[in-house]
Amino acid sequence: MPLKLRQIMLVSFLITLTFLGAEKIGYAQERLQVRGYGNTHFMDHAGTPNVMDDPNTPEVEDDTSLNDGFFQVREFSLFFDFLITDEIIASTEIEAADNGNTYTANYAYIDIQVSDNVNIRAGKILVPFLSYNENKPSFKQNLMSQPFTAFNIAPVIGAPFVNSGFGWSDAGAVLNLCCLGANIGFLDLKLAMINGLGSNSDILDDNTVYLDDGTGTSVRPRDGLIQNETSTELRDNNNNKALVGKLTFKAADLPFDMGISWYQGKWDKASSKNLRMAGAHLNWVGETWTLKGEYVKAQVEQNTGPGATVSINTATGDYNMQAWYVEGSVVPARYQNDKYLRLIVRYDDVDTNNKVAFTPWDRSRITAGMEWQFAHNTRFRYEWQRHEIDDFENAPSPYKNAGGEERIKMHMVSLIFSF
Amino acid sequence: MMAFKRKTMKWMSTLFFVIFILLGLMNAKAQADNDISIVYTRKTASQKNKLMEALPKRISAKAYNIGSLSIMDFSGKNKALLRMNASKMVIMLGDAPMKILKNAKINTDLLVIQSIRQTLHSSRWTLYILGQETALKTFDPSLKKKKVSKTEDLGSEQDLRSLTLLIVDTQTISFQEVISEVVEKTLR
Repeated sequence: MPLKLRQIMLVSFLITLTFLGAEKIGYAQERLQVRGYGNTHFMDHAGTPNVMDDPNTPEVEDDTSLNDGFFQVREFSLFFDFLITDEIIASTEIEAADNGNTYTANYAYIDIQVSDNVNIRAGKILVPFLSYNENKPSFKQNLMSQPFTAFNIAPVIGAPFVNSGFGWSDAGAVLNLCCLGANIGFLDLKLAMINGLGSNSDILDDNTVYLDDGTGTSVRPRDGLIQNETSTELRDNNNNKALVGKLTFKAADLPFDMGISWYQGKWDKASSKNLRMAGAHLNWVGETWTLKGEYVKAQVEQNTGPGATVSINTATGDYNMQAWYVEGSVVPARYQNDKYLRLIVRYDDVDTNNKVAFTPWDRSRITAGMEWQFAHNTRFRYEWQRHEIDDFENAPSPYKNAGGEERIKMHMVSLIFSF
Repeated sequence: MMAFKRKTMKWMSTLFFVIFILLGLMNAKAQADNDISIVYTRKTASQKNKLMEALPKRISAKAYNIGSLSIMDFSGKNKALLRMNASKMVIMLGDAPMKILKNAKINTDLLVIQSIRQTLHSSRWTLYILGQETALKTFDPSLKKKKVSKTEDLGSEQDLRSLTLLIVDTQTISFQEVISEVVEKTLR
């Protein structure tokens, strides 16, 4: 065959393939769903202690003083869902956090629908514990700030201290038995096996900060479990896998659901120390009124003594953590179909160690907020907080010298959008 | 025209062979999808069961109880919508799905049964099928509508696809019969 004829045939073949491919790309687009959301905010605290960079690693900026007001791009997320077959969906959430300086896959998993009532999910999953974690995006919540249950205990959102990887996610698998008893409502059971929370030191709450008290005293803030998610970022820190269970009831004809959650795993490298958590949640999410609440208690096994450089850092041995919140909201005004004004109030309480004389995370807080959806899927939020630290008379002098006060106040304005 | 080198041609042939196989696989998967997605609630469960029975056996249907979708996680409804949009037609039974899935994107043919909420629209074709007793004041009077009391009144696929409202005389014919016939005639 002459060379020119071969070239013409090849080019014709490629053009045909391109047309066929374009049709298939259209088909692939039908199977790909892209959604997303984002938010930016300005927050300003008064009464928090000033902290400074670790003198041993000055190149790492640990200076997380909150009293100077600041802007943050907290989340900008894109959700991708691809329907592989009618029964199999691959999903991921890619999030630009840290003012757009880091990108994290908050989750990346495959869903296999085995039957109408059975689903298996495997990959990097959102841990099915309480309600907030599986409904964490800011456009699904009424307030921008997260309740203590989802900050100190279930490590959902570490902001403003940790500003990436929102959502308590971990590598593992979930078996979901859904929608049983569809007459008065649905029962939904999720059983998960994940790497679990852990610590690479001998202490679970080993987070350390340097107080800007004139001498740079190092203290453990005992801020709960927010730093324990990272110990299993790539591989588990021990040979124990954590088990998680969540049982939810959702009423068929009312906007109401409630559930109980349970977690058990070993947190230390030797797989000898238990971390157990149990909690409950309820949600009433009507068009005008919403009521939400969570309670969680964690039991930690830990040796006494290690890490004791000064008395305020002494490890307490076994201890308990506890948090709860109640949040209500009402929409007094609605206009032009989807625009509205919402008023919100929340009360929450936390204690991250019941054995110590003082921890700044033994506190209660009241939050009042306002949300205005002024355009389609675009909202402005304002919230005001007042924290009151318990047992402040026991606060060590470095904490007070660094500017820590018994009452903390905070203002925050946010702009939120979703699509 | 530039001449292709033998090495380039070999490389391109391999690439296109792989793409061809992948496209073939994707096409094979498409055939496994359901023809129809039916969205219902507890209140319309019996209606859904009757409809499933009335549909021709060659048409595959999958039902979604809208009340259960929000249990999964915040993305549960959207994943169900992704599955629905992969089918050839979506049928909404009653008011609740229209309210819960308000403003969702439907990219496939949509039948709305016994609901006058106009909160969901297909980018292709939306047909409201209502009882004759239903008040139609929320609809634009200029929309094309038709009343039927027997299946013969439905007309051809072209006639049906030109309509937005189909009013059914439920004294003489059931919704299930009408829906089944509409599906039979318009499913693409």
